[in-house]
Amino acid sequence: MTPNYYFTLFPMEALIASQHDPEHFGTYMATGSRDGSSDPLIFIAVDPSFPGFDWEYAKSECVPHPDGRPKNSVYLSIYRVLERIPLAALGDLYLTTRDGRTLALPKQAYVQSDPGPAFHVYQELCPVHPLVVSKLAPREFGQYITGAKTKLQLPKIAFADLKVVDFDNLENSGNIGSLYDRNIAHLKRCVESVTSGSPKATKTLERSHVESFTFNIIKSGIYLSDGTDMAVYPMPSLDELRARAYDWARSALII
Amino acid sequence: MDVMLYSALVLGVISLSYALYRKSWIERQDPGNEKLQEISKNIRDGAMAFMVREYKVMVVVVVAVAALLIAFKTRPGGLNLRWIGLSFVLGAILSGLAGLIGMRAATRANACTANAAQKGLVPALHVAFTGGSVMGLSVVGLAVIGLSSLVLFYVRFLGVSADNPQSMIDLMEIVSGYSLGASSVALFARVGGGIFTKAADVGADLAGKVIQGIPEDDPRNPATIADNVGDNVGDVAGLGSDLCESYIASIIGAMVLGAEMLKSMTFMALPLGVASVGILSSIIGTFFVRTREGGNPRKALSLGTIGASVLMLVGVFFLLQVTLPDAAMEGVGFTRMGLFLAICAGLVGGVLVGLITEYYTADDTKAVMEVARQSQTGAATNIIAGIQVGMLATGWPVVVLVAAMLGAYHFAGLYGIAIAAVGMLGTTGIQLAIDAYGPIADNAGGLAEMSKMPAAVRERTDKLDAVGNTTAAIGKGFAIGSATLTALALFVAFKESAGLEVIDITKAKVMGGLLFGAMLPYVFTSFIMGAVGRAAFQMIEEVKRQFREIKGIMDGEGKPDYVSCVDIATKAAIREMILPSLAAVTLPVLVGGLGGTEMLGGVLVGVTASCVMLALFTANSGGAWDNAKKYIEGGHYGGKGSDAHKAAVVGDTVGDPFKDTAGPAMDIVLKLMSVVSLIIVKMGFVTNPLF
Repeated sequence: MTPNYYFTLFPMEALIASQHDPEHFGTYMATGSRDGSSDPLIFIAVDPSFPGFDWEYAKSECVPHPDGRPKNSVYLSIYRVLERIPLAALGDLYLTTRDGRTLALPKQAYVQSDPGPAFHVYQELCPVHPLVVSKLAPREFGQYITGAKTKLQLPKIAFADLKVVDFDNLENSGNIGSLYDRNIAHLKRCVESVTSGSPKATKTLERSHVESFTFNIIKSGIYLSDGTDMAVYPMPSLDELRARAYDWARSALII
Repeated sequence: MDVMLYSALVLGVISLSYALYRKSWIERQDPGNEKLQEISKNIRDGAMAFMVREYKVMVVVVVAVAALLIAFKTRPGGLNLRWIGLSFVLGAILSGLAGLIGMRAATRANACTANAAQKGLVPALHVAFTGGSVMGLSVVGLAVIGLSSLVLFYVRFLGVSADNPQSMIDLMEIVSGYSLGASSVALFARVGGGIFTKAADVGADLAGKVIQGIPEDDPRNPATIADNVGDNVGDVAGLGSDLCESYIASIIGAMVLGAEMLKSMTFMALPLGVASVGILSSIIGTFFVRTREGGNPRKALSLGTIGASVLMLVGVFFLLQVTLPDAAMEGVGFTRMGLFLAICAGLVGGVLVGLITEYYTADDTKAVMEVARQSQTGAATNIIAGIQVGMLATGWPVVVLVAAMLGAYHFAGLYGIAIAAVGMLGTTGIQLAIDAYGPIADNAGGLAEMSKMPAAVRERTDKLDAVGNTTAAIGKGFAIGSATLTALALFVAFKESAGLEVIDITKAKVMGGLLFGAMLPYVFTSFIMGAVGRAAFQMIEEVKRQFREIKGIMDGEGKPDYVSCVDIATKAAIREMILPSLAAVTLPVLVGGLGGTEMLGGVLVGVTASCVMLALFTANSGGAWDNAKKYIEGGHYGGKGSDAHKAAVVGDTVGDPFKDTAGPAMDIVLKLMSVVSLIIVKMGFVTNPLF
C-alpha cells in the first residue's frame, strides 16, 4: 500500500505520510485514535515528486501494523514545511471539523473579482497566524507578504479570506463564530486605517489568532502563494454545501 | 342528568375509537427505509423499556394506595366508601393507558413523519399531527369513558339521588378517587419522564456537542437515542398524563361543587356535558388542521385550536339551553348566560395564557432577543436576562388568570370558577394533539439526521420542529393556566367539603400551613433539579467512556452503545422520582392530620401561589433561554460558534430542566396536593387534628 502524503497547514505545520485516505486521515488527526483530541484541521494532499524530504524513510515506515491495520501517521517534518513544498505539488485541500468530518476543496485557478471589496480580512494560517485587515485582493496580498519589498517577508503564505461583519448591523452577522467578538472596535479602526487613502496596505488586527478561527467564517476560500504562483481553494456556496456536504456543514457550524 | 352522562360516555367511546382508527392509519403508513426503521425501533424499544419499569413502580404504589383507601370505614348511613379504591385504580389504569397509547403512536409516527417529509411538508405535517391526535383524543376519550362509567355505575348500583344529598356527597368522595388515581400516575409520568428527558438531553448536549463537537442528533453520539426516547416519555407520555389529570380533576372539582354546594344532579353532571361538547369540537377541529405546500404549519395548527374553541362555545351555549330548564336554575344564584360567560372566561383565559407564554418565549420576540443580546457579554448576563424574563413573565398570565377567576365568580359564583376550569380544558383533545405533535416532529428531525436523509427533507422536518417548539411553549402556558384553575376548583371543593366558611390567615396555624405550602414547590424543584444534574453527570461520564473505549465511533466504524445511555436515564429517573413524589403526597396528609382543615387550607393557598409562580417562571425563563440560543443560531451576534452562542448554550442547558422538568412538575404537585387534600377531608382524616 503506497503511503499518501499530507501537508497539514493548520493548526500545526507538518508533512505526514499516512496509509489513510483523506477522510480517514482527517478523522484520525481531528479526533485521535482514542479519546483525547477534538481539533479542526486543514491539510493538503501532496504529490511526492520533489526533493527535500526523506520519501524513502516514509515508504519504509508507513507500512501496516502487524495486525493489518493501516499506519495512521509517519511525520516527515514539522518545521518550515510550507516553504519547501512547491505549489505545483499540492493537490486538493481538506477541511476537517473538530468532530472529524472532512470536506474536500479542489484546487482551482485564481479569478480576480472585479471590482473587489474595499478591504479584506485575512486569517494567515501558515507559517504564521496573525489576523490582518488589508485593502489588497488575495493575489496582491500573497505577492505583498512574499515580496522582497516587505520587511517581514515570508517565503510562502497560506491564508483564508474571511467574512466581514456589517458595522451598521452587527446583530445580523450570520454564522461567523467568535472571531470578531472581542475586537470589533479595533477592526473598525483597522478598516479605516487601510481604506482612508493612506499608503498602508495591511493592518494587523491580532498578532496570533488561531483558537477562534472556525470554518464558518471563511468567505471566498483559502489561498497559498509564493509570490508568483497561487494555489486557490474556493469555498463552496451555502447552497452547494447543503446539496453535497450537509453533514460537514452542520459540523462546521455553517448550517 | 342521564343525557349528559350517556352523551359523555358515547362521545368518549367515539373519541377513543377515532383515536384508535387514527393510530391504525399511522401504522399503515410507510415507516421508511431499513435504517429509519432501525433507529425508530431503538427509540420505541427504549421508550417502552422505560415505561415498563416506570409502570412497575406505579403498580406497587397504586396497589398500596388502593389498599389504604379500601381500608377506610364507611360512615353510618352513607354509601360504601370502599368503592373509592375501584375509582382510584380505574383512574390510574386509564391515565397510564392513555400515556401508553399516545406514546406508541408517537414512536411510530416519528419515522412515518420523517419518511413523509420526503414527499413534502403537507404529508409530513399530516402524519405528525395525526400521531399527536392519537394522544389527545385517547386522553379525553379514556378520561371521560372512565368517569362517566363510574358515575353511571355508582348512581345505578349505590342508589344515589338528589333526594338524598348525602348520597351525592358520598358519590363525589368515591369518584374523587378517580382523580387521585390519574394524579398519581401523572406525577410519576411527569417527574420520571421529566428527569429522563432532561438527563438525556443535557448529557447528550454536553458530552456530544460541547466536549466532542458533534452536532445535534448525530448517530455517533451514544446519548442521542436516549435524547429521542426522552422526547417521547417526557413530552408525550408525561404531558399526556399531566393534561389528562387536569382534565379529570377540573371535571371532578366542578362535579363536587354541583353535588355538594348546589345539591343538584344536573349541575353535578353538567361538567361532563361540557366535556362532551369539547370532545366533539376537538374531533371536528382536527379536520381544520390543513395546509398546502409552502404554507405555514403553525397557522394550520392554530386554525385547529381556534376552530375547536369557537365550536365548543357554540355547542356549550346550546347545551346549556337544552339541559338546564328554568326549574334547574331556580335558587342557584346565577343564570344560564352567567354560566356560559364563566365557561367563556375559562376558555379565553387558557388561550390567552398560552399566547402570553408564546410572547415571552418565541424566538422573534423582544424578550427573547434581549436574552440573546445579553449573551454577547457571557453566560452570566445570559442567565440574568433569562431569569429576568422568567420572573417578568409571571405578571400577565396571573392577571389573566385572576381576571378569568373573578369573571367566572362574578358570572356564576364558586361553581363558575370550577366550570371555567372545565371550559378551559374542554378542548384538551386538540390542544394535546398539537402539544404531542411537537415531540413527534422533533423526533422526525432526529431520525432524518440519523438516517442521513437528503438536506431538503431535513429542512422540512426542521420547519415542523420549529413550529413544534412554539406549540410546546403555548402548551406549557395552557397546562399551567389549566392547572391553576383546576386547583382553584379543587380548593373550592375542598373548602365546601371541609365545611370552612373562612380560612383566617392571621391564625398562626394557617400562616404556618401557608408557609409550608409555599416552601414545598421549591424543595420539590430542588429534588428534581438535583436528580437531573446527577443523572446528566452519569450520562456524560458514560458517553466519555464510550468515546474512550469503543474504537471507531467518530469515523463511523464503531457503533455506540445506545442501550447503556437509555439504561442510565431510566434507572436515574425511576430512582429519583420516588422521594419528591412521596413528599408531595405526604405533606398534605401530615399537615392535615396534625393541624386540621384550616391549616391544610393554608397549605393549599401557599402551594397554589408558589407553584403557579414557579411554574410560570421556570417555563418562561427556560423557553426564553432556549429560543435565545436558537435566535443566535439563526445567524445573529456571530451565530454558531460565537462567544454569544457559547453563553446561550449555557443558558439553554440551565433552562432545559427548568422548562421541561421542574415547571411541568409544578402543575402536577399543585393538582395532586389539592386532590389529596380534598380526599382526606372527605374521608374525615383531618377532623381530629393533634394540634
